[in-house]
Amino acid sequence: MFNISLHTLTTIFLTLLLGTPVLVSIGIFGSALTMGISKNNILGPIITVPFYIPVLIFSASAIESVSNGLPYDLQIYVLLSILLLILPTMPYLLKYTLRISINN
Amino acid sequence: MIEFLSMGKHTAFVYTAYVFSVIVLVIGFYIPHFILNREVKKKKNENNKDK
Amino acid sequence: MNISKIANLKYFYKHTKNVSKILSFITFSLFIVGIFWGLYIAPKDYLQGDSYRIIYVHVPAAWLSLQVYIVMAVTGFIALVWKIKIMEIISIQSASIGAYFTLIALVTGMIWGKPTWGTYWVWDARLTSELILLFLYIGIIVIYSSFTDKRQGAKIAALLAIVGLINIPIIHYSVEWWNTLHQGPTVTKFEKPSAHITMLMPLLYMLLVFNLYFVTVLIKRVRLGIFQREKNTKWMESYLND
Repeated sequence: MFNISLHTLTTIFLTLLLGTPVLVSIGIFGSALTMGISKNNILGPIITVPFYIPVLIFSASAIESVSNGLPYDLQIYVLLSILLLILPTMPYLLKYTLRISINN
Repeated sequence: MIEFLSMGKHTAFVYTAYVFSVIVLVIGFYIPHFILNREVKKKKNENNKDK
Repeated sequence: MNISKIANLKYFYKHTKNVSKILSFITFSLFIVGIFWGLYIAPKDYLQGDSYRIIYVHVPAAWLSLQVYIVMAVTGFIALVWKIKIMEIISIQSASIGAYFTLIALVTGMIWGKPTWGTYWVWDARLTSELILLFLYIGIIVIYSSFTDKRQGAKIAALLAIVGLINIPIIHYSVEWWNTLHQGPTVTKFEKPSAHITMLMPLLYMLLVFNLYFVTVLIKRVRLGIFQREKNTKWMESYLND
């Protein structure tokens, strides 16, 4: 499919699997922060995108390494560790943020 | 004198960097200075007007 | 000194008027001395000639940009947990100062990069994360100013500052962790510093002067913040009238 080897395809799938929950959590955090401002504010995405950058860099680096035949273990481990760090802490952080934002 | 002040072939770079930093630092210092003076003046005018 | 007296906004505002003037004068004089030292008295570098002198503004600015962020995050945390008003003001005001430092670090870094590496910018770990730091600072300032309820705005801004703390170790250790164009650690290596002492001294001096600058401007900005909050209170009006 798409003239990409199966190996690369599985790596792409793996980075997506590891990265998507992280991106979703960061996105929720970003929009929870800016909830209290007027409805049509553009601040949410502006805050969120800088936090996306490490995840994007590691995913892109992993896929580039695998398509060049180089080892990509490090990038996958880093993505995994980001996921494992974010997943337990995010619910508490989001609860706190939403409590502040809604408490008008 | 000019010999002493010159930085070899990188003169422009060094002086640009220093001048830029000094300008930014000075601006950063004077912004709160002027804003505070302006607001205090405004407040004093309001007080005098009310009297 | 009793901590509750410092936290008292009235006390701070009244008693820092003269301190602020003296500190400003001292900072400016020491700064001029430092620039003269860095530009003319420190010796030429064997490899880089004279362009290395940018280090005397670039490194202190970059170091302070990290330090000020930590101050902002810590005072933001204190404001969030213990709800001390002056900590809120300190946190928000140091965001602006930190943004200026980050800007200076980035621009002087670019100016230094051109003669030494041949390029103004490269997307390596340290430069990219310092750029992210600038975005974080700007984001905190913008988010605070777009809230109409300033106390809620301060809480949200403090939260953003604390979450962004992860960027600081990334910036600091990026030169150790990755193969990067940026120079490795030279000052914080405690075993045997690899720079000559006559080049190291003005650097440490400028570090101190930049710190002094931070304290001076912070005091001015906190006075401004206190005035903006308390301008309609009785004590401020009676203070202005005499």
